[in-house]
Amino acid sequence: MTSSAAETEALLDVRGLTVGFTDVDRSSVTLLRGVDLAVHRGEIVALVGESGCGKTLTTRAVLGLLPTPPLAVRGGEIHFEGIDLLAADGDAWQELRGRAMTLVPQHPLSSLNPVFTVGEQFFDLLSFQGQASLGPVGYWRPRLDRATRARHRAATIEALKSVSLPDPEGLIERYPAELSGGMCQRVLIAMALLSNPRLIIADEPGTALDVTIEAQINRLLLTKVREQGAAMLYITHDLGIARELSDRVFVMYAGSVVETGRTGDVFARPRHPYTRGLLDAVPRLSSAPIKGIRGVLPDPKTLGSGCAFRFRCDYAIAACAARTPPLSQLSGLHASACLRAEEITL
Amino acid sequence: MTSIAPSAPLDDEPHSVAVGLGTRAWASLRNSPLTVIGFLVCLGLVVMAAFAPWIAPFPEDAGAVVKFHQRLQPPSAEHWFGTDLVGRDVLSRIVMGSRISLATAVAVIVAAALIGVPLGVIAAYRGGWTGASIMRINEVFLAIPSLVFVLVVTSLMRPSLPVTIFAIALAWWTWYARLAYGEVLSLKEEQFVDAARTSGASDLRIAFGEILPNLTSVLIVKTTLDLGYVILLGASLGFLGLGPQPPAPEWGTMVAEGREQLPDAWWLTTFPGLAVFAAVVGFNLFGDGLNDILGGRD
Repeated sequence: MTSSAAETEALLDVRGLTVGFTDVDRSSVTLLRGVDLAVHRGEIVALVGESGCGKTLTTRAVLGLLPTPPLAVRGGEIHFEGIDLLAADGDAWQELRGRAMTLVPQHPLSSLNPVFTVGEQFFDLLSFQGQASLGPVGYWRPRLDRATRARHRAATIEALKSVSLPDPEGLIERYPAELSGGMCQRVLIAMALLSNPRLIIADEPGTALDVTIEAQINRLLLTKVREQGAAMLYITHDLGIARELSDRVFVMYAGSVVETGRTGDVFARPRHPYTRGLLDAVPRLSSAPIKGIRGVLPDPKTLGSGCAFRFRCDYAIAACAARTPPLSQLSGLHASACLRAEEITL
Repeated sequence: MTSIAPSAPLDDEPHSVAVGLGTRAWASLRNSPLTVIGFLVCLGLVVMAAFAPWIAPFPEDAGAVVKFHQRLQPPSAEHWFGTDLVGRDVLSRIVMGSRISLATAVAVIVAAALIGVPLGVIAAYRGGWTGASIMRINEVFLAIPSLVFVLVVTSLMRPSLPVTIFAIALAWWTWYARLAYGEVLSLKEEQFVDAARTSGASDLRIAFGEILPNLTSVLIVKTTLDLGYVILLGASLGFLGLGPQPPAPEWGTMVAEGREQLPDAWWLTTFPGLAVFAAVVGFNLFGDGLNDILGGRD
């Protein structure tokens, strides 16, 4: 592989990812219906969609942490730095998780182990970084070595400072229950950044926090990710945040990507009725009432072929039920999975 | 978005400042005199066992000593708890016997926890066939009443202190396996386990480095409560003649020996019995209080 190929190649390339499970009545249920997603080096990509559309499921699959069984990958490929993780021997993810790809979780308050101090959790992370598996010796040796302890302590203080946490020396001794949600999320961000990852997956990192803190956290995340030159896949249902943070956006609906493009393009000229609907559903400070999208997400069990959005779409025609429209390129990076993307004006 | 500087300092206050364990323990103790009593009884028992030869007025009476000139004396200033059939001081024997009871209890609990906890953790964490096999074996052990089980095991061997410990531990590990199993089953679904996995921790590390430390407080409470029960079971075995053999001053054995002299020489059975009672109640009250302090469930 030449260096130019490495540069143009996507960092994360998900193609046709299909995930489903077999229900108790032995019927097959498909939850992700061919997700196509790519994140390039140093790029910030937002994945948006309403609750239940498969955003989190997609990130679980990317991290290799789908609860299997019952869930199973039925098809598709997940390439990370050119390696097909699903086809690789053994657990290819074990080498990547926490090193090349890290996660900023959705629930900051419960994502830290309640019985360890912040310092101990960093210590653990620092001592197993770069090693796939460690036995009791690997667990205790760094703990008993004074030089290692001092080094890890300095690294921890440095990491805590870098996310603007006040009094890092004091914080090291504190338990997660003594921290606020915002502080926990900062600690978790510091942990996610610790290994200089190439890809940071942020799964609605601000949802559990109140709005002002959420804004701070997003700012911080953006600054740090840019600083480290990492790529970020930011999962959110908040279009405002997606617009603010991302270079490119993927809009998901009922287990597949329905529209993608540069964030500016997608928000200015949506080419899928669902994206239009999402944009209209954002509350504004004008007198105009908010337009919602009628109906609810379809049940994946009864969803046959055809466009999954046709039941809620004002532009649906008979052809929409005939086959599932593929994500087709409109111009540049902009692509839409709507049959009538070219003919309708949204 | 708001015009907050990229790395503005935090403005959300910690929503809950945890009170130090010491402060909480003190407040809890003040409100619960029973815990204090339990603690003092336990402390007394440990001190008694540790310094038995110095505390007992006649430490040599723990062994095969014969003092016929003072046999079966009722409690007096010289012999507070009276003397037994061969004239040994009952108080001295109880004090010396505390070593046997406490050592049995501690050895049994340590062995049971060392066997049971890892098995429970593995069963819950791995699940599937591994978990099912471990828990089914566990249930087979549980199905047999522990006294009957211990009786069978001890009667297969020559009764002695190590045999008693081995037999009780063999019956007792199941409770630790079940406790760990139940706790881990819920803990493994916690977000922090997920977070650990995303940060690259191996299964072994998650199970024993992340989840197991969360069991500390329940295990402390369980072991404290169990110390009392194991002392009781040990005494029962002694009473049935399957514990440490005479002249060892085992409390249950002493009760059995004194049984023949009832109702005249009541002190032979009453005082060792009270010692067992005090130990069981003490560990129970203390364990219960610990449960409150450590924020456990009822």
